[in-house]
Amino acid sequence: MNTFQPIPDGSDLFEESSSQTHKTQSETDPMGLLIDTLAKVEGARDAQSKKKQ
Amino acid sequence: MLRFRISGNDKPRAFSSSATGWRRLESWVEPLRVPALEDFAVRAEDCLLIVVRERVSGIRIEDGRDYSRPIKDATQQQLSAALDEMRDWPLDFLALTVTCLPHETTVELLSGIWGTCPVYLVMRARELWGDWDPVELYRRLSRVTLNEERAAHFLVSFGSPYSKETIIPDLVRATAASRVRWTASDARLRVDYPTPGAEPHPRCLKPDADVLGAFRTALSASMARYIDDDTGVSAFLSGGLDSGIVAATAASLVRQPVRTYGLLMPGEAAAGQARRRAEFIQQFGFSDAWLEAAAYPALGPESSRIRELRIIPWEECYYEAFEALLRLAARDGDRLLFTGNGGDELCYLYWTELSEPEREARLSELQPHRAALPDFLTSRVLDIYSDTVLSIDRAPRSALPMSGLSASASVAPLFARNGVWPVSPLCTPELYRFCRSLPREWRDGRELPRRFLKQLGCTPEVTHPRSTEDFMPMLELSLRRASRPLLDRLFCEPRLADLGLVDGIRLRAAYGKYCEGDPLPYDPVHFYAAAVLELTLLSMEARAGGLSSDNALANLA
Repeated sequence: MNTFQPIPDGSDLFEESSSQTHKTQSETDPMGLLIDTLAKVEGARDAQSKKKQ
Repeated sequence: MLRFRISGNDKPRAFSSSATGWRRLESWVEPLRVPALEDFAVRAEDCLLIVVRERVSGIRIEDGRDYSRPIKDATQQQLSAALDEMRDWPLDFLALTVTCLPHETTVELLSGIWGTCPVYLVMRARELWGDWDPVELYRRLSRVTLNEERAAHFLVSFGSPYSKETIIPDLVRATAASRVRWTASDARLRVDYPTPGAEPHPRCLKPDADVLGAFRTALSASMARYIDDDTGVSAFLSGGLDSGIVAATAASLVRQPVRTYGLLMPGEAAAGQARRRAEFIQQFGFSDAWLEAAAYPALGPESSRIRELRIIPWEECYYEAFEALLRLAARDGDRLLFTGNGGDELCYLYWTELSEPEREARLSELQPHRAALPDFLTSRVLDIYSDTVLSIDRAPRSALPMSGLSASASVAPLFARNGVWPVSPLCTPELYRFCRSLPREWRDGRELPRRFLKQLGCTPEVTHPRSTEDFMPMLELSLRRASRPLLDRLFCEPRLADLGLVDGIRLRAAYGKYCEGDPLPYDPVHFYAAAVLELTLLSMEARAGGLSSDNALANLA
C-alpha cells in the first residue's frame, strides 16, 4: 500500500468558528447556484477566446 | 489515456500482452504511453484490471515502463485491493476492469478526479469502444447528427457544459470521478456521476495567517509530485499571472532552467505581452521559446485538423497555434508541460459577493438577450437554449472547478496526439479549496496572484498590467482572412440549416458583411461555432462513408 504525503491545504490558517458551513443566498437562487458551480461561465466570451497558455 | 475495444462475442480466453497493450481475440486495450504515465495489468480468474495513471515522483511500480512484461496473476482479493488502492491515488488515473464469463462480458471504468484526459465511449451491437480521441470513434457511430439541445448551447453561448453527454449523440464522456458500467448481453451503458462535493465558503483568517506562504507551499508540493530529479521541467508562459506563477514556482523546484513556451498574440497588446514575458524570463532564468500565433490561424489552410478532418466541437479553438507550440516542445524533448489552467477559478467571487451590475453581467452571459445574438440562429435554437439553460445535464460539483474540467477536456486530444502530457497544478483540489475559502479581499481583483508575484520580485508591469493580451485579434484575423475560403464553402449549403439550427441565407449574408469590415452587434465567435459544427458533421460523414478527408473536402460546394 502506498502512503502519500498530503498536500498542505492551509486549513490551519482559518478561524475555527468560521468553518461551519452556512446556507448562502446562492443556494436558494438557481441561477446564483449555477454561476457559483460553474465558477467561470462556460463558453462565456472571454472563457473561450482567451484560452490559457 | 486509454483506448479499447471490448467485444461481447469473444469466447472466454485470457488477455495477453501485446506490443501496444493487451489483446484477446477481437478485444484489445491500448494505454496512452507518454513518459508522464505508467500502466499495468493484473489478472484474477475471469477478471482483468488495467490501470493507467500519472506517475508520482519517487513512487515507481516495479516495471511500470517495461511494456513487454506479462500480465501479473493475482487472486480476486488482490485484484480488489489493487482497485481500492487506485481510489487513493493522488494524481489522475483510469482503472478498467473487464470480466468475461461464459455468457456475459462486463466492463467497469473508474476515472480519477482530475479529468485530465477523459475517455469517450460508443456502444455498438455487442461491442464497447473507448478512446481518448473522440474522432477515432466517429466511424463507430450509427448516425450522423447532433444533439439538438447541446448544439443550441454551443451556437448560442459557445458552451459545452461538462457532462457525460456530448454534442454528438451516442458519444459518451467518462467524466472526472465517474464510474462507467457496460454489460454486453443487454447492451447497457451507464455513467454514474460521483456524489456532489461541498462548495467551500469564505472564512475568517487568523490574525497571523501567512496566506502567500500557504499558497506557495501547496502549489510547490503539488507540482513536486510531477518532477523527477533527473529531468528538466517545462511550462507554458503567456506573460499573464497564472502561467507566470506556475513557471516561477517550477523554477524554485529544480536546478536547471525551466523551459518555457509561449504564443505571442497579434494586435496592440503584443508589446506589453512581450515585455511581461521578458521580465519573467530574466527574473526566473527561463530558457524560452515562442511562436507568433498569427502564423497559425484557426481553421487556416495549413491546419492539420482540417486536412485530416479531425474536428471535435469542444476542442481548443486556437488548435493550430497550440499544436505548433506543442510540436516545438516535443521536438525539444519536453513531454510534460505545466499550464496555467485553473487560475481564474481560484479567485472568482461568489454570487453573494457580487454587486447588482456584476450579477447582471454574469446572468447576461448565461441568458443573453436575443437582440445580442446573431439573426442567423433560428428561433427554435434560441427557445431550446432558454428552456434548458438550467436543466441541461451537467456533471455535479466536484473537488475541481467545472470550468477547469471543461478546459482540460478541450485540450486533452490535442496534447495526446502530439505526445505531450498537460499538467494544471492550479487545479489541485487542496489549492482550489484553500483559495476559495479566503476572504473576499484576497480574491477580488485577483489580489492573491498579484501579491504572490510581487513577493517574488515582479514589477507592477507584471502584477498590475494596464492591459492584457487576448485571442480576439487572432480570431478576427482567422475568420476574416485565412479561413474565409473554407467558411464560404461551408456556409454555402450548411448542414446546420438542414437540421433547423441556422438560417443559411442569413448566415451567408452576415458572414459576408463581417468579412467586408462591417461592425458586428455580437461576438464573431458565433461564426466559428457554426463553422466547427459544420466541420464536425463533415468529419463524421466522411468516416461513416469511408471517404478520405481530401474527397470529403472536395465535395464541399
